Amino acid sequence: MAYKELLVADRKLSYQDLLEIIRLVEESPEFSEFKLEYGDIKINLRKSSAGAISAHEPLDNPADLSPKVTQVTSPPEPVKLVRSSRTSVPDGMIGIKSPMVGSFYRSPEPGAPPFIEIGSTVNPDSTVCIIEVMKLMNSLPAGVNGTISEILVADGDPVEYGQILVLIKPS
Amino acid sequence: MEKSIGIIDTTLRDAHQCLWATRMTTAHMLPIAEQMDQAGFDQIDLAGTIQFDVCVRYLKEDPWERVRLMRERIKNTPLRSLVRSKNIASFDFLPDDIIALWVERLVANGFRVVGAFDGLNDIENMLATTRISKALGVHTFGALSYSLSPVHTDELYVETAKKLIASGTVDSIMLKDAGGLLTVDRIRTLVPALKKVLGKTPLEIHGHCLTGIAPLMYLEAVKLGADQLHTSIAPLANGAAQPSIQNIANNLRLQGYKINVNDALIDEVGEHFRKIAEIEDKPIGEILEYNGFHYEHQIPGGMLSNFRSQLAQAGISDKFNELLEECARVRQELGYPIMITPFAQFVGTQAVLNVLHGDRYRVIPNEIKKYALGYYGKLLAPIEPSVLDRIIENGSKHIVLKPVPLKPGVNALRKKYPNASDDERLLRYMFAGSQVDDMLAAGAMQTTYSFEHPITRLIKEFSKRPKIGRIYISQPGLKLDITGHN
Repeated sequence: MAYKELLVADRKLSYQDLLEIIRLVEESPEFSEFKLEYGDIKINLRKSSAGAISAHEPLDNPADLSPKVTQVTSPPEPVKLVRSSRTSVPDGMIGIKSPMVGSFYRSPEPGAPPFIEIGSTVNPDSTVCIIEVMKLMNSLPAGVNGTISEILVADGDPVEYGQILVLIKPS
Repeated sequence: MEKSIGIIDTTLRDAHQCLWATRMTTAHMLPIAEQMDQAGFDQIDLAGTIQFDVCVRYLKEDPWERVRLMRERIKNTPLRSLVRSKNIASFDFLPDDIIALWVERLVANGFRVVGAFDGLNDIENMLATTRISKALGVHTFGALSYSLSPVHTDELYVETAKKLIASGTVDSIMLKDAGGLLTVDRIRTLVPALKKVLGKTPLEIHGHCLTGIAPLMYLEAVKLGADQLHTSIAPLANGAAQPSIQNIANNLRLQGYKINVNDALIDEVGEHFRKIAEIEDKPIGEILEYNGFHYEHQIPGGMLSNFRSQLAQAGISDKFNELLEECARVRQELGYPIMITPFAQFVGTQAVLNVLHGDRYRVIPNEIKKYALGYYGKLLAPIEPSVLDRIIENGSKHIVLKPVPLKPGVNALRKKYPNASDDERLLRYMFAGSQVDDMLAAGAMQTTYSFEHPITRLIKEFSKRPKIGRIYISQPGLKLDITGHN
């Protein structure tokens, strides 16, 4: 668990911290060259022969020394864009659409068997999936008698308003 | 003789819940715990339900371990815990024996004050907790959840207080204003009415500074006989949190009341959290101005941003005001539930669905149907009959019309996890999937806090090791490469 403690990048590096780092490098007789990349910040320091410190090459992003560093605390996660492969319901099929922006769940709780699989037969009251928003669960009913033909979204994925989630072939 | 007013400190519970999204870690608390113990508070509020939730899911800290570590350092002042209705962390109700085990474990791990609140002011939902805590011999309290609506009358609170006292299971009554709605005017009728039925049972006031008037409301409440006030330590006070003890103590002393807190220690605690806020880039409590709009919609701030994104995604951002009006209408039709978790989500989500679909109550979340059918307790007012019909018709057919009493859960839980402690079993019961495993896998929690940046600490350590010619460290977000002189 020593590594857990080393996960330092979750703390912002303030301007004061940077000054302190430069001072420490300058004052330590042991260091000749110092390179640090911390989130968006890059610092290269090299001591001259006389022991004085110089930025021996231009800072890659000098502007990053500005207070923009607050961004470092939570690097944005890559946005997971999920769109169903279908934007319209094929002829002869019934599409179950998301009633609002939320998260798509295939089972009543984590680890439980999914409500439906491809090929499952459903009746109008069968729950096909849950859309969760603000921790509220919307059970979406099949609405028809039929067979599940396609499930277009993966469990836990975010869905948009009106997105087609499941296709049912009515019987 | 001057009257002494007791202080219940909320810095470690509600203040960071309101200001830091509950992200205060155990390592933030431990270094200052002994000073807080000595500061002269009647009680120190440490954990409601959300603290357990955030510990497990976000901080990956064992919340029970937090309680034990704090209890080792806070030896004199009773630690306090608050139970939400009969649902603890979920929206769905839990069986009574699970609630009982929860309360037992709260006490066993070190809480000496345990009470409950219920958004509907249904006392049965509170008694599930207070009966057990009373039997276990700790100080207990029941809450009056304050809200604004035609059904939230002084009489409602007086009746609820009477029933709580008649149950013989509460040692004090907490007037809990989670929405920051109490005004000086209302306190002038409410506190005297409550004092009449409370007799010797102490009255605690718990407000929030969302409209800037809670500090004045507190002074008025004390004048009218309130016995204990919930405050937090500035700069983790004000804003959406409680009034600051610094301000309240000064003003009450000026009026001749005795406040037995140690100002120097409180300043030390405030300074500790100010430094942490700075290092961790977390906000401190700003003093908010009066905002009349707050009384119009009563919608929690977090929900307003969700509303905006829901409307934007549907391409109807221009309907924001319509949505706010729909919220007010839905709340009325649903019998004026209080606008706090989970009821605020009920009202807000139903309003969004109504506006998105143009056809009101066509899409019904499961929780709305359960609420309407009394799964969460007795409603404050009947639901509009035509709305109730639509909820029943359009809601999930798998929700039965009459709630069935929940089967006891403890035996099955112990069988399911034969080798776990009850503490761990309860966490597994409440947090599904791999959440508890993920928490345990994260290992022992941090118990110390360094005010120094980890990078500067590393450099200092390296400079003590002249034999090392080069150090290279790389991890996501960090590359460190130091070359020595050799």
